[in-house]
Amino acid sequence: MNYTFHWAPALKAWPQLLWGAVVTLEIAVLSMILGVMIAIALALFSKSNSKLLRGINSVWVELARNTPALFQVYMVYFGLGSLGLRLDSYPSLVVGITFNCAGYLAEAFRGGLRAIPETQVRAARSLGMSAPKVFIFIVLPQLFRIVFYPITNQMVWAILMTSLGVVVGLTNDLMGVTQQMSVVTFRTFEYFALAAILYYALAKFVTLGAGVLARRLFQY
Amino acid sequence: MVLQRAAGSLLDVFRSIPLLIQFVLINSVNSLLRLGLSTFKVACLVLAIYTAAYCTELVRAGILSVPSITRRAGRSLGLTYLQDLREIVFPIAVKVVLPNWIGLTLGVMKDTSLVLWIGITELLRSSQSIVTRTQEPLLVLAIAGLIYFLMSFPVARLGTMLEKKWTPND
Repeated sequence: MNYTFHWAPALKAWPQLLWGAVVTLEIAVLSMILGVMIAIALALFSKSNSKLLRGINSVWVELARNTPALFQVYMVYFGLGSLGLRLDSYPSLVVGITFNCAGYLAEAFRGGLRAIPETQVRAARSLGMSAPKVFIFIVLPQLFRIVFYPITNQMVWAILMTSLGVVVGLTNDLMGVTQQMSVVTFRTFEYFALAAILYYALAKFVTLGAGVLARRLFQY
Repeated sequence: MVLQRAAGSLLDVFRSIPLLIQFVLINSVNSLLRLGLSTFKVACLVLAIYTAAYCTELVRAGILSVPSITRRAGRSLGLTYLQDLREIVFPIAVKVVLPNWIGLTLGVMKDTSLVLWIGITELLRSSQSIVTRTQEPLLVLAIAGLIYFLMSFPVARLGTMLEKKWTPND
């Protein structure tokens, strides 16, 4: 092997990579918050009596689960663009990941809703709570406990999925920064190895943090 | 034990790094070491390692799902360890593993779209080059999505069907 590794310039770029990691985390958190909200709505849709709402749920879930995430991001970036809705690469990445996460989480939430006994809802209703109140104070807290593990899993997935942004021209997330620097310096291996370490650290941070959080929240 | 933990954390690394970065890294290692593999082979290699990382978890869960009493009974009837694995663990574990394994296969099938980044023309890449020619992104992408969907949906349905059929007492 006649190749000398040049780690110095890559290590000098550490601050930029770290900022990229912050942007990556920001995209992941943003799309997870949106995704969880949509997933709750979709899970409720799947239980409703309206055929239209159930249809929306099943179309969303099947599309999100049966096409590649990259295709979904492409569809938002190029496809919606031709409908006259031009989104930048950052928002279209967020929309794409949100779509994907919502589809996967909706299934988990649907299973979680089934695990909450119907009698509790009826008891709360007969105590005089309104339906939204029952959902927020009785169902949701228990639901979050059941789906906590799927949510953390999906959060790690969301972080990994942000790397798709580079394909639609995002330049300020971790993958985008790394790509730009490696194109400028031709030190592909060094930069991408550093990026891999950062992604690994982010994923570990999320799983360990979730473990600590779970122990604090669900100790009884 | 040490080996077990080392294997576990190594596989965890492959699960926590974006596939896109794994493609780029292995591809650059390929050219640094002058291994002379084609990008297609690199892509297959990366996807294989990535799949193995997930499949290990599935197989482990499958083996753990076999009650240890059953295995002990088999061993005390005089089966060797390998016979126990083949005749007792395998038939029971397969029913747990196979539905998830189908899901994993579909996941990998969808992840193949990422190989366009290291310069392989697959479904998504070729639809993109058609888009640049015809300037009809919505139509072409919708067709590509339909192809993905048609490949994935029936198999996914089969997976859920098997899961329902084989889940005991449900």
